[in-house]
Amino acid sequence: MTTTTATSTGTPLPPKLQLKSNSVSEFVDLVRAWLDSVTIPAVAVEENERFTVLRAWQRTLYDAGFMGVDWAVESGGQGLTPQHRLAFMRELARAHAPAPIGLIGLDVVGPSIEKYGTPEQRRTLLPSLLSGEEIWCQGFSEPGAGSDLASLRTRATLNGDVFRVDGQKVWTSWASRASRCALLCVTDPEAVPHHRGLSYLLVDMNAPGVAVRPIRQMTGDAEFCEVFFDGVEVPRSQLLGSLNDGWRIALDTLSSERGNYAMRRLVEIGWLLEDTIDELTRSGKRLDARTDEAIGRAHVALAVLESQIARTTERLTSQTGPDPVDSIDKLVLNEAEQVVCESLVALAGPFRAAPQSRPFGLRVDRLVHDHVFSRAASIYGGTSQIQRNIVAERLLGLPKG
Amino acid sequence: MTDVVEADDTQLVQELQAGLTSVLGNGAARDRVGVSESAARTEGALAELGWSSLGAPIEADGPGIAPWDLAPLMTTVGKNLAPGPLAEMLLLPAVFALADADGLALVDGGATPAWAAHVGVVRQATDRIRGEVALVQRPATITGLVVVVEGPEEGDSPCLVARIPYPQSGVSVDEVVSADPTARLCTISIDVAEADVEVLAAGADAARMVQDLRSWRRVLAACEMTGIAERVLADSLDYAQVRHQFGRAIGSFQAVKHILAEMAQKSMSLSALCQLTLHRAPEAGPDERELAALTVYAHACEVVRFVTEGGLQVHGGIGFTEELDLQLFIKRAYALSVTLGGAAETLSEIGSRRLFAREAVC
Repeated sequence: MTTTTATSTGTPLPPKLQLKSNSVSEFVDLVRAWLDSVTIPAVAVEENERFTVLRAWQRTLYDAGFMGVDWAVESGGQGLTPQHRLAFMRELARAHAPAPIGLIGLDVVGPSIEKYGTPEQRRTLLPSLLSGEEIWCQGFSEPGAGSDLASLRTRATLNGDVFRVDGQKVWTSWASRASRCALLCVTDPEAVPHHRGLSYLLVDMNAPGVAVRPIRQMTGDAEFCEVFFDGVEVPRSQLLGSLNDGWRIALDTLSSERGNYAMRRLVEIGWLLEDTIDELTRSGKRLDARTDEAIGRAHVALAVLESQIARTTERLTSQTGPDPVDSIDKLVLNEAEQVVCESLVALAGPFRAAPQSRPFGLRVDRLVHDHVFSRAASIYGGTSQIQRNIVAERLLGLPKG
Repeated sequence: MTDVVEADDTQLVQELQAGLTSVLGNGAARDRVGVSESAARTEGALAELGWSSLGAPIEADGPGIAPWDLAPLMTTVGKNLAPGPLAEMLLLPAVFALADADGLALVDGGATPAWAAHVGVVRQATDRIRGEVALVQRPATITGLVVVVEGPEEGDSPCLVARIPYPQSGVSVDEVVSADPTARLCTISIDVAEADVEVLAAGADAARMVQDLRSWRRVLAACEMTGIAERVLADSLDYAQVRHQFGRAIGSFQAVKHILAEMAQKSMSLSALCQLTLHRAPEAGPDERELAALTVYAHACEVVRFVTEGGLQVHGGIGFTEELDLQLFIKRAYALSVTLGGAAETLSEIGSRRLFAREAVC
């Protein structure tokens, strides 16, 4: 059975395969057979090339019916369970296949629109988000609102049926490539506490008054951006959920971000380990006990992450909403990511200083890139220190200090 | 997650867990360990639970509970502590189809490959079985030994598993001081004729069973370490809320909160990994299970040290004394986290298996 869906721009997408609802093990067989039948793309370290390849790969996955596995059919998904999605991510890793590109849309914004959106918003926005045709960014952090996100100041003033948005966002991943932005902004500046006056808008990045400035990071990539909103008009129909209810949606979003993002990183860093093992064995040079220990350490860290995700999936399936255990997930993910990347880059020893070198057949440039990126893991999406505060007070019940 | 445990076994294990908690949950762990009346009483209560035959298969007239169902009992042991060797008593009947493991000491110097040369192994030498193995866990009363016998040359795999009654001439047991009051240790010397031992397994069967035994020992040790971590976390949380300094509970200070939050993170991650390992065990082949066992053990070794040392820091001076049980949990954690090879050696084992497996495919 196939369906045809329309994007927000009205262009019909070609038919997407609608999968039959089946058991996880049948689904795994189907995924394996499909992965055997397609060419898995090689992914470049260079940012532009990587983006292009992964976006095309996302489209391939979408056409085959594997995007939005656990989203509703009306939203362009398959209506299956989080276990199916986890199984799919695991099969991607097993097949040495990359994860799709539209991270913010797929993991963060999409689930929120799926949950809080009007039927119209879901129908018009989600299929193109799943296919990768539209890339989304998330306008949450501001120069003065990082860990203290609720103190953000970007204003949206409602006038009739139109919001007028003024303000500045920062650390907005992929904003320079995004056609849409999930914007958290102040709609009631008098609200006490402040976060009761925040709303969640779905903004067209091509609207007049939106300006984007990429910020180059220490990895060499420029996926982070500053985004400026100067009198940007947003139709009221693009409000997600109720007016002044944005904080709740954002918290929910951040919570699902953690579960989904962890699954994705499991695939990606799992892949880094497998490739490194391949490179070492292909070169035929065994190093010493340090090599074994480093590979062992990375293997254990990934197993820990996988088991944590298995628990998260059980929790997401029971749909209990945001939970302080999400912060445990984030901490486990940070640690796994940093341990794996640190263990693997250490294999290059002094050669990490020269990323173009290939000691023992290792792709040093990639190891260095990923290791540096892993250092951001304990900063983005809520620093480890903020997570530990949440764990201590909301999970362990320690008194507020 | 699909429940892999058969309904009646689940219920049985839950009842056993409740029974074990009532045996161990009363009174302080420090009264139960060492050579004491209370230790003997605990041993008697465990015997009443039928501990040493819980792992016995149906063909040996046992309840036939699989190791993955027995493993959570070791988490309960970890939470309370009791004189051992308790894991070995569960596993020996399960792996070698024995009716009972009461009084049996397991002699397997090769269980910690990186240290085998120093710990010692027992070898086949023409028609004799000979060797000296240190750091063997000693039951209070030894009635026999289960000995893993390696081939005549260094590097040979286990070729025989023998049961030797004790006392017997040619076998000596010398107790040594143990740093962990819940485990008595001894050095065992063996020089007996092969004809005088009972062969539990030989050849490829022996190698396979020993691989399985070592895997399960690591998994059960990881479960016990999970229990220790959970208990120390719970005790430390309680303490951080009742201990006041500068006019408020120390648990309200961010520096203390972050120690406890990290302890919780590590402890929960270990429990999740144990759960997944046990969940997958029934379907896993021997090599896969071995890799999973090494993995969960390596993680457990790091977690249990982190959590117990963090717990000591939260408790401050009182935690360093013998007034509290905490020191026992810490000593048990230190022992468990080296007894089957320790974290660093285990990580190397895992890495070499991962690299070797790929080389074999290439």
